[in-house]
Amino acid sequence: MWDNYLLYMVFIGQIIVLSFYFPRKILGVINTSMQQHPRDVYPKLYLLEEKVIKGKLNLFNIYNSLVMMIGLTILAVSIINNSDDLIGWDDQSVLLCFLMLQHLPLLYLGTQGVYYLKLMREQNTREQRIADLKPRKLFDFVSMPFICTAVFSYGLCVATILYFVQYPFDGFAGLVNILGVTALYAGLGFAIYIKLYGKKHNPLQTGQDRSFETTIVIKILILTAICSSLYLAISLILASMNLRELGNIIYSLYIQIFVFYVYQVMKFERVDYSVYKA
Amino acid sequence: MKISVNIEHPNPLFTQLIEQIKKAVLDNDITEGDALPSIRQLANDLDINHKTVAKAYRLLERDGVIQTKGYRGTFIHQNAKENSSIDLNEWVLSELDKTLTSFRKAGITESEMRIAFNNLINNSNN
Repeated sequence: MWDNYLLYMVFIGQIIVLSFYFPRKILGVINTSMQQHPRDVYPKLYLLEEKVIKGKLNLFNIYNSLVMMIGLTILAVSIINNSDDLIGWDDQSVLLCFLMLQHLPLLYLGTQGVYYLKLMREQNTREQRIADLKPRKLFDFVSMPFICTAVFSYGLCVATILYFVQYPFDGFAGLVNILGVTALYAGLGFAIYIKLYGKKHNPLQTGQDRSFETTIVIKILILTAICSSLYLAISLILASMNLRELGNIIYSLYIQIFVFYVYQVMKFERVDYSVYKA
Repeated sequence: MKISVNIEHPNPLFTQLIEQIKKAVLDNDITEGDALPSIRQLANDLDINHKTVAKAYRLLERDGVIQTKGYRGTFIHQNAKENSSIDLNEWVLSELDKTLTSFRKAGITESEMRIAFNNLINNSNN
């Protein structure tokens, strides 16, 4: 029973952090930025009417409120029915599906951001284009120990999988796990490569801002790799000890800590807004 | 060290890149052994075609201003400073001018010169 209560508490945390706290923080940052940088002084920042921008932000808020209500309904149904699993389904599936649902508003905001940057590129009339005559290298943005941690956690995960290949437990997928974690690392590696050498999406962004943004994104991607491989290793160990339920709780907690970290490293106040002036 | 291109300028983009890199070498803004960004990085940062940057790098390598060291990247050549002050296009023009003057003195017509020049170019391409 205790593990049910623990799961409920962690699930509440996931609802609050991902569908309330984080969206509120994002909206707060955008609203503050709009108040501090008005249209008449920073016209290049406003490619759409303020009314349209606020409408999109309201929609983002509504989406999050809906997801939060769905989450609270799942929780209420589970508590009322006193079921061992969330709404009588498999806990892991419910947590994963709900997590995907929680990401939909962020996906909406992300696509709007991409559209906004596209507009910015289309409306950019500057004939002069400037670039740094210096190669960008991964270690300019992240420290060696951080990369080593990612490599070490990959090794640890593979070693754990290989151990369970020797001593399998019921439901163990085998070497496919190595394929999965390797594919994840390859995908994140590709994303890092694109961030380092890919196109500049914001044509007005200063070199310093771009460098800062690149640092943040690469750090988050590497942290995702570390967290994912460690989570896989931990969940395999827990599953072998018949403690799968605990794995779900750790998973949810992991996501929440991760989101807190993401918010902590994002320092929007450092952005140089002078490039958006007339 | 920054590099810039003006997309509306009458000079081709690859020429602008070459001129600026040579100037940076002559002004000691970049020196022997300094690494240059990859073709992909520079093309994406300037939002221009990769082939334009590749052409500029190829011509700079021919002029002995930069050297490519396989996967390690592109670096400033050890004799870059001396080689940057040499303008190969200028040299070609002066050499051709001398040759054309001697042909004219010998009474060769312009059409004969064109035919001979075209034949030589075509033969060297085949």
